[in-house]
Amino acid sequence: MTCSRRTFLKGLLTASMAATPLVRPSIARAFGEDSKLEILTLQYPGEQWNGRLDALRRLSWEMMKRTSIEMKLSHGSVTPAEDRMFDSPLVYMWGNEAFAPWPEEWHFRLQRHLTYGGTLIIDSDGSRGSGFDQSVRREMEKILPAGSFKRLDPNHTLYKSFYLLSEQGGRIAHTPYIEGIDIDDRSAVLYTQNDLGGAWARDAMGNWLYDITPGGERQREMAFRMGVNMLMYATCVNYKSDQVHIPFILKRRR
Amino acid sequence: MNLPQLLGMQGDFNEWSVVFRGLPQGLWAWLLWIGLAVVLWAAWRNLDRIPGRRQRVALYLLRIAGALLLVMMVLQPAIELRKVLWRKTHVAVLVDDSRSMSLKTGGDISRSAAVQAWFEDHADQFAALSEKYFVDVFSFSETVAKTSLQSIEKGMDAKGRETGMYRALSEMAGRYPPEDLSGIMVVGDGCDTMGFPEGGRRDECPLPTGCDTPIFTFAPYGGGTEADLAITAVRYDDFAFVHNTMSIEVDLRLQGMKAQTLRLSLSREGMPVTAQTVKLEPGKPRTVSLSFKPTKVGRSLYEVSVPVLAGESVKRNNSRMFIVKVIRDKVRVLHVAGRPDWDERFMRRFLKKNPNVDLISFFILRNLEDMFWVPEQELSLIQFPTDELFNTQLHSFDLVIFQNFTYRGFQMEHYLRNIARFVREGGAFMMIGGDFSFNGGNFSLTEIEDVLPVRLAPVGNPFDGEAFSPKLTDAGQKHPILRLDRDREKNLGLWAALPQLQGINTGLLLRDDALLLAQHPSLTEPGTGRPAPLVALRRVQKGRSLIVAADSSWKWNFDQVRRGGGPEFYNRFYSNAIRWLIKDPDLELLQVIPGRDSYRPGEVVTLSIRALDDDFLPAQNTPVTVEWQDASGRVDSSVLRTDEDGAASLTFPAPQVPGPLTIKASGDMGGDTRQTASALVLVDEGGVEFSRVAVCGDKLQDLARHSGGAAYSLTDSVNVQELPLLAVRARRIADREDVPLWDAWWVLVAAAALFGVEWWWRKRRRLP
Repeated sequence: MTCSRRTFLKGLLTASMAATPLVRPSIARAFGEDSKLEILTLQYPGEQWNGRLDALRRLSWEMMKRTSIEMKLSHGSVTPAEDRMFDSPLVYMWGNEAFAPWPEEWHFRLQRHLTYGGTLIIDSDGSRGSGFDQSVRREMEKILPAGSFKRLDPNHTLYKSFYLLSEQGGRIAHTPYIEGIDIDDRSAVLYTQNDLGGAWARDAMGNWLYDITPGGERQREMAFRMGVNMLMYATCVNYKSDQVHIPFILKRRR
Repeated sequence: MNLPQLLGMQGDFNEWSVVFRGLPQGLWAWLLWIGLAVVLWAAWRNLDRIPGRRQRVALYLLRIAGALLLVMMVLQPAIELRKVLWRKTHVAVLVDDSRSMSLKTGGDISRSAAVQAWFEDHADQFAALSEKYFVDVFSFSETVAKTSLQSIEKGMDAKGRETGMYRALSEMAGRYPPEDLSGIMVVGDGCDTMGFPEGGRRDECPLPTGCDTPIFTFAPYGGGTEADLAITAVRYDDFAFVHNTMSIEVDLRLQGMKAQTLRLSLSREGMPVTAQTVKLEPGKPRTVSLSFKPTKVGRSLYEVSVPVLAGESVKRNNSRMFIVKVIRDKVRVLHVAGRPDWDERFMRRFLKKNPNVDLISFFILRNLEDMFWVPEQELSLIQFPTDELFNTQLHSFDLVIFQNFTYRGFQMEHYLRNIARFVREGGAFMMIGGDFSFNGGNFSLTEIEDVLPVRLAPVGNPFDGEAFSPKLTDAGQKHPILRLDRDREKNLGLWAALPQLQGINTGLLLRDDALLLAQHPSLTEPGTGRPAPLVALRRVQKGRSLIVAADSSWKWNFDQVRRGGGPEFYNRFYSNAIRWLIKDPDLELLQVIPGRDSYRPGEVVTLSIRALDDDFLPAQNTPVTVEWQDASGRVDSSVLRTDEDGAASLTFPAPQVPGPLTIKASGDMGGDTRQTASALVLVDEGGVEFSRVAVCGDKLQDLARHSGGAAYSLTDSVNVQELPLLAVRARRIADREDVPLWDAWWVLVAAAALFGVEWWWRKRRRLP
């Protein structure tokens, strides 16, 4: 297949026109730092909850670089008992070991958070045994007893909320799928065991903190893309499943 | 001496008969006769032991005689004396004086003139008929009126708006007892337009009078050769949904001319809507369906029409007007968000989950500075369809929302004019704040600024990021948009308790014709010192606009959850805002509601007025001026005063001029502006009267056939004296009296004597 210069430029122009302004205010500002989008990390007993704190900073940087979303670069952490959890509808939870049962109040508050519009991203290193997985399922059963984890269909909006994805990405390739718990027409809980945070994380010097196995840098890029899609899904929900988008997406997936 | 005299009765009784007043009916009659038979049988069997046949028969007769007397007491026999009179019966002559009788049929004179001439020619025959019968003459159209042969002979004024032939026949049935009516003569074209009165038609006898009275019909000529193209009927739904396809069916009829190919047109208030080319064959009615999408909410006057052809006998049946109430099935909302954010997220979810909203939303997911090379096939992004949204499809929306969106970068400067025009022509526009909104979106000096409730003043920083609690203005405390609770104090408390907003757009100057509902508690407009607007609205010619100069109203939704609440206040605020923007009638301060869509000329038009003050409470004792203008331009008016419910009503006769009747009401409900409201009704003279110009000979023949009469043309040689009418004389019982035979004392004595004789006989003869 040949690609002429004209075709290439046309493609570039089309890509740039894809919801992209030709002239925008050069600095996106929001209403100050407090108005920017924040991802709260969920604190829970033990030390493992803060295992990927820097990862969210890197993901936010990539979000700002790749999309129109205005993100905070510094994200806070909360326990479900804190009112501040309701400052952001997006909560990130990381872990790789079993943890103690949560108090009933946490279940109630997390249930309200998720039911009224919140999204919880659960990220883990699934290769470290099933302790975390069992703990997560135990708690989620109490938080959302009406729902249960189900593998997301490849046509789920998550896989097309910004990038068209067919891979999961992550530091590891433990599970070839993402699970979710639905509330109404959206997945309020997204659960991956491929350690997306591990793929996003850099040190202060900008070096990647963890190696990617087995897929190398492409797998890391896919992890970022999945992270972008997750944040897009949290903010736009099923926007990309609106009828107006379907023909375009089907055409590109052929 | 006859029987009444023998019985000593006074009066001119000339008939008598024996009647049984106590004769039981149905099952009781059967029981009586069976019981009587059993008694007779038992009485005979009981005499078996009596020696001697003659003795048995004698005793049996005594018993039978006694029993019969007792039965007589039960049956209450009487002699009915009657005074019977015989008199002349009636012949009803019904003459059509509807407007269709003004048509010329097969000659140079009108149908009514032909009828007049026929009555003149047959005056002697009617005079002779009047000696045998009472000849009662009526004219009929939409009503029935008594008239006379002399009046008919002088000429008729064919002005009736409709032809109620079956109703006139029905009225005859109510006017005369069946035995008094020997026949009905119907003189007219037979083209009934009003149908049968309720319950008047039966399958076995389709005549409202019943089929016992012969009907003789006389049609003005028998032709059907009048040249005419007519819209004979239009079928449509009274209401339709805006932007949804609506169909109407139009019945067309061509007669008296060769086949035609013509254009059937539909217009709304004078503007073409759709048209269809139709081929019509003479004498073959055709139904044509027209489909269109109403684009305007409210009551609209539509008109279907066909061209007037040369030589047509009637031109007014070439068009037909009707009113359709166009309502929303759903509010069509275009939501354009400048970037994904929580404010946009909760707004989209609110709109998406609202069953009354049909949502098209676009989020700008990527900016120019975000650009890096990724193959298009790996992205789900689509091109922002500016031309389709803001040009070709713009008017299919009811509401356009710009939420933290700037037009810059989309080469859509020239579309801003379209949006402004969309608003002025009746659309709704809402701008929700953010760093890309108002000054941040460079909307200053654009056509969008022209339709906003605020002007945009240049400022250094187009927003202030400090958290604040909004302050409701006096107008805001009353306005339904900010009404979270009906109780005013409670409402204020709810607003005070809502989570704080994070930042406000600055540099906004409230326009003079805008209404400020909520403001910043401390920030002011640049230069004026007035409070910085947060929520403001404006009526822009036919449309409306509203602003919310913050990008954190989502906290009214999600942060309420933290407090144990839910999104209800957020949802209520934006629901109220949308209802006001799309002009929900319930939020109009002044409303005019016609009793019906259409009225006949001269018929009483009824209007209901509802008025609310600027607190949206019933405006009591408030003068409201109502003006109505007919199709000729004549204006009448009346001043009403509302009652304690803010209501008033008005009745007036519909103008004689057919066509649209425009009604406008205005009143000072409080506040700064005088409120106005309008309504539209149709003055319709009943277009069906001329829908068929040919004589309806088929209907007249049906009438005659079912009733045992005959159908004639006025040109037929008929002697009305020789019509096979029913009996000349009617028998009527003028007086009636009973002479009872059973309640005399001797009946009981006789019965007792008979049973006593039998007892005595048996005792004396020592019989068992």
